[in-house]
Amino acid sequence: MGGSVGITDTVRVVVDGCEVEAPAGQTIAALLVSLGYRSFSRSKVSGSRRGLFCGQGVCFECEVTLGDGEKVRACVTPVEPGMVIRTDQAKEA
Amino acid sequence: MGGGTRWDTIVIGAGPAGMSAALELARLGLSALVIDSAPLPGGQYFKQSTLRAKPPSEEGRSLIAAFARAELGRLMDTQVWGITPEPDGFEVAVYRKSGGERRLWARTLIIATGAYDRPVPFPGWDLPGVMMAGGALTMIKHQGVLPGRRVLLCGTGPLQWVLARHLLEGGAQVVGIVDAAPFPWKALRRLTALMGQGERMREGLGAWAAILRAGVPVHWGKIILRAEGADGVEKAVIGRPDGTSTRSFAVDTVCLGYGFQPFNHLARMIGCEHRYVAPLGGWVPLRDDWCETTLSGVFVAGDAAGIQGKDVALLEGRLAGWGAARRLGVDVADDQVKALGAQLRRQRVMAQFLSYVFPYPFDSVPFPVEDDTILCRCEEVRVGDVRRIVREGASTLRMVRMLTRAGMGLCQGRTCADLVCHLLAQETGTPVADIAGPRISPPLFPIPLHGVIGEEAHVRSEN
Repeated sequence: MGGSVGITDTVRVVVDGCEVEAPAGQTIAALLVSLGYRSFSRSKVSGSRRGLFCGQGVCFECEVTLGDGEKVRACVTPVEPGMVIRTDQAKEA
Repeated sequence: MGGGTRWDTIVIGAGPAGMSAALELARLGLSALVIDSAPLPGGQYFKQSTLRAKPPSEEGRSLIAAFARAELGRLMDTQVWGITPEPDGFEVAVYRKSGGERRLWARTLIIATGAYDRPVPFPGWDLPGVMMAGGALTMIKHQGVLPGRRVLLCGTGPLQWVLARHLLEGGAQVVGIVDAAPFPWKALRRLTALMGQGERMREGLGAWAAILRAGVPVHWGKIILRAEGADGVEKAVIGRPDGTSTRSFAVDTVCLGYGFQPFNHLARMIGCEHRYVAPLGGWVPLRDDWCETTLSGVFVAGDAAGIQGKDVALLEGRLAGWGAARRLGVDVADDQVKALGAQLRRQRVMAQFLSYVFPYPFDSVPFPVEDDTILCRCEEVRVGDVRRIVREGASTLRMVRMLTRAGMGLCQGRTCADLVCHLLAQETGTPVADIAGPRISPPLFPIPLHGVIGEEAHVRSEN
């Protein structure tokens, strides 16, 4: 069983091209919300914005893309050092 | 297959029910493996944050400590995505990001996969900023991040009070609590049923006191009628279910707390018989006194078998552990089982009380009448789309699914299947219990192809 980490530990990650610091063990969703993101992805049908909905890994609406192309649920995936995270918001920027 | 460990029991889910089941199995000297998709054991109720050193309650801490000490296999960060019944046991397909064994095997299974928030649709519920109460609570309690600044809570029951308290303590403005149930006068008449439930009453009343102190208005007998905004929710309109007495609020977040639905999709996947029981939250497995399903050797314990809360889950977990042990040829003393059964009946009183005061939402919330309301969020299938094909003769969930794509997105129908069944029931004048639920096929969750590849060509992806 991994122990919890102190809240002072931080990791550096890249979100939509910007390097930011995040508390170690924080979920990607919590990081994005604390950075002011409201929507994470786009509807696959109409392209309308979607945000954090279930927050528990059920709905897949918070999917973000990692540097290696893998799509993960932001709400159940903790940040890792050097992680590159791309939301669908980046595409219009 | 292969030459891996052959466990006596695999327990799926390391929440209150799963952990207590596993402890009994370990105590009886059986070999048990516990699998959970989260990085740390605890489940939702005793959730351990990966972020903070702040542990769960004393009760949770001691359960987790006992679980950590017990002679058990523990596999965290692992998603069970399929189960294949075999003549003498069960093959369990798992995916782990870090790799490792992909197939596990056990003689018996205990499914303790808990529950998830029940969605209730309304126009605008797809806007960013509209989220489930359980997810919002996790965000603030375990991640230390406020999900919003101006928050309206809509739903029913005491979880809303608990969420409101956490939001207030975190510095958010709670603009109101909207409860679909009428003010619980009738609850007073049932208070006698709560003898021996002091601890949980105190928790609820403590949250209630915090709401009163903060002057948060509570709107009884009202529901959210719609949410509006450009790129996210900006305004929420509430009113009576018939659409009268409306009021609107400027908000940036709406939390939906309409209770939970059992997550027993694995049991349904392998063919355990289920029945729709509205007060228990939806489809629940038929079980005997040992929590054994209609499939010999498969047990379901805790909220996955019907929403009854943590205390029932702890007891059912033990019972399922004994049930599995009995199947494996271990003697379990009858008087022990009788004593536990008596405790279980007492704890179920509380669960029944809550479902009486805060009924299952579709008793008090009319199903959305507006054709334009989204029903399946993934595929953006609207209420009107389903109505149209029902008028054209569709009468089953399967037909609705094939003709509209409802339930074929990434969530695989977890969010909308129950909603589509309610709409079908309403449109065809059939009791919802008579509508056949969705057929659950592997994979339980979308998993990367490399998690399956080379072995399971016959497993059809849902997507």
